[in-house]
Amino acid sequence: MQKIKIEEPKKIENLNNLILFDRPSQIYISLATNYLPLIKKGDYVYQEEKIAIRKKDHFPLFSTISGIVTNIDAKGITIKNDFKNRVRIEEIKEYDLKEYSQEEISKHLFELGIQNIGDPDTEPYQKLKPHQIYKTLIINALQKEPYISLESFELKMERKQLLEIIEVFIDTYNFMEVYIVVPNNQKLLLEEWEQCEKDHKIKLIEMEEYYALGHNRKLLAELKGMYYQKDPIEKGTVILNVSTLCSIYQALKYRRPQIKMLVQFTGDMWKKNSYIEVRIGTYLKEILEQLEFKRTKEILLLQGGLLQGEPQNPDHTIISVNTKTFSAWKNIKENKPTSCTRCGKCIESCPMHLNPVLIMDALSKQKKIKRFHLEQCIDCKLCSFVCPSMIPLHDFIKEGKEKNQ
Amino acid sequence: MKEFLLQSGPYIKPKEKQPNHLFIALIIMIFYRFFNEGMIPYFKGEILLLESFLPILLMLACILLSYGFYYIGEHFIKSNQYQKEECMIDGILIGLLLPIHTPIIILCLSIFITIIIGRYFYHNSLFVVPSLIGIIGALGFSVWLSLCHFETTNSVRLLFEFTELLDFNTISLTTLWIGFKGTLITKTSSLLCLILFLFLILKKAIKWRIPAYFIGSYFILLVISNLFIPNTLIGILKSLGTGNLLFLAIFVATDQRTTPVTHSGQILFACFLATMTYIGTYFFTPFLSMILAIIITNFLVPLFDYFGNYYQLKYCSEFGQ
Repeated sequence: MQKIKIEEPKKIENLNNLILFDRPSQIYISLATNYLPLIKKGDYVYQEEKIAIRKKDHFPLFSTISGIVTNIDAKGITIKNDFKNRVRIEEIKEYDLKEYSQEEISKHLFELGIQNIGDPDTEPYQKLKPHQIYKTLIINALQKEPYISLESFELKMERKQLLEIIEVFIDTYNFMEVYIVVPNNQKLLLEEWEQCEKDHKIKLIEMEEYYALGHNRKLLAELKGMYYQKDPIEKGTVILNVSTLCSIYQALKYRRPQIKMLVQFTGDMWKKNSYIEVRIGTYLKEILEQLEFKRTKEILLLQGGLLQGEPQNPDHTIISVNTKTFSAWKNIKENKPTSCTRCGKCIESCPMHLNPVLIMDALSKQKKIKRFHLEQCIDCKLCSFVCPSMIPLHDFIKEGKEKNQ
Repeated sequence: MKEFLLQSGPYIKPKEKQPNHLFIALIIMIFYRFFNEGMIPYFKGEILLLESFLPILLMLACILLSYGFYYIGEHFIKSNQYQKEECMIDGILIGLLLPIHTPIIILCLSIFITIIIGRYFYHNSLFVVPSLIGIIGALGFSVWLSLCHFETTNSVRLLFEFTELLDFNTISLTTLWIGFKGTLITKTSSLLCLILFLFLILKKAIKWRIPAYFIGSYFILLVISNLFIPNTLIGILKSLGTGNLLFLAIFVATDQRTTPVTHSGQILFACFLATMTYIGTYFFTPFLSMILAIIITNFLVPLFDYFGNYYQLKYCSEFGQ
């Protein structure tokens, strides 16, 4: 597979660049299709109050502000902020992480509704189920996309907390190996964590960052030569990204649900990256107003980066656990696709050895697609990116995955 | 490690376009042909100065005709179907494969068949290299012209060059590989073809597995045949060095749209092509047999891709189990 590297190095910004956006006028919590609301319109909700549960297993969702429920439907709940941050239990207590057992960790992560941050993946409470065979813990600090540096920023910012929780996991789950995978172009970060390598049972792995190494499937294949069907736990491995690990720490330390998260804003629209701590459920337009973002036709706003990003309308976009990054680009022209030249570049570049062009052909001719193993696709969109005919190949794979389901 | 090519994808700013390396390689072949069939005979006193420019004029005519037919195709048949470079490369290949004394009418017809019929009319089911369809058309038309006595001299010459059998004993190995007295039609240099092949591999401009495995398989077949029909190594290299064989393997058989996309599929394609070419040499000239072998092998590309996909994903799915 040809390795594709970004030519521009990413810099970790100073901690002073962290912006707090703590006062949204309202929030929207999405219910998708599988959550049941526990409140009704007009109810007053407290911050960190349970407002919905998942139908199949009662996994909870919490309000991130206190206020009145102004709207509720099958899709989501809108809560107007009263700016009082009222909570039911005001006392913030710290818990000793070393006293947690495997059952307690899983139980609290479930009760506090801790989700995987950054991409829709198995929830942490399922990844850290008790009495499974655990061999390896991998903390993935590589970026999923070019121009994104949130993982490195959090790794630098939360070093002590991350070390504490990693130590707890080593003792509780008896991991034989613990790896922290970091990009090798972040020298300051490496120097700080190299000291930790000596003091703790952690192995720091520096990897030359190429796309799509940040994806769990590709990372595990590259690091250990292992492949999995649905989850790395099949191979006794737990892979967590830095953001999720931070939220696990907060949840277990204070036994409070997660109400805030870090979001990165990048792209050539701004001179430097912005890292903003926001409340989950905040409307994107409010944050953009703070960043003095001028909405014009020439600017393309994406959720994500240039490769996997989806165009966004700020009026309708909400910050959720899956929206870690936004990027804005000037003067982007949408290229029109031409016919496929069968050059094979998509096959050369696919990190999972799939055949996007053959999948596209099969779907166009309505043939069977099971033999193409679409479940292995990591949605990196590299096939669409490298295609010289500018065909959105990933759209075909997405369609194929939906058909298979 | 390769850098991102910021020229594709729906949301990427386009950078400067990368040069078409295949086009560059073919331009070098054109200049070599001009040198070989134009300048050398002129300096030897065999032809006049104006005649020495015939190879260049032929190529210019091919490029202009292919450009013209491309525009006709885009405007009147189906637009946004092909890139300009693809059609121009078709024209250049026709120009390099046909002799320099090809009547202009045959040239026109050949390029017309290649671009309009070979590409635009069969755009959804393109399975044979368009330039070869043009060559077959040129051959057929020459036969008709000579039979009808419309234009005998050059069309007969064309047929003769297509069917000429070379006596290897009269030519040295170096002459054959450098191409001063090549076989059939273009007097292509096998050595130059190999050098350009290495250039194209470095630039990742072609499906390199096809020529590489073709050369390897053909060589192995020649060596195996040595058991039955004794031949020296030089004799084997002479058979391999008939210029047009390598030219066809590198520039024609690697046509992107009509070859397998999977790696294993390309290897199967190349080995099958080599076998068919070898068998064909017992009935036709190497040049004709390879053209027919490419056409036959093109029909089997979906089958090669099917097996290629199977082997590729077997590797992938095994680890996932």
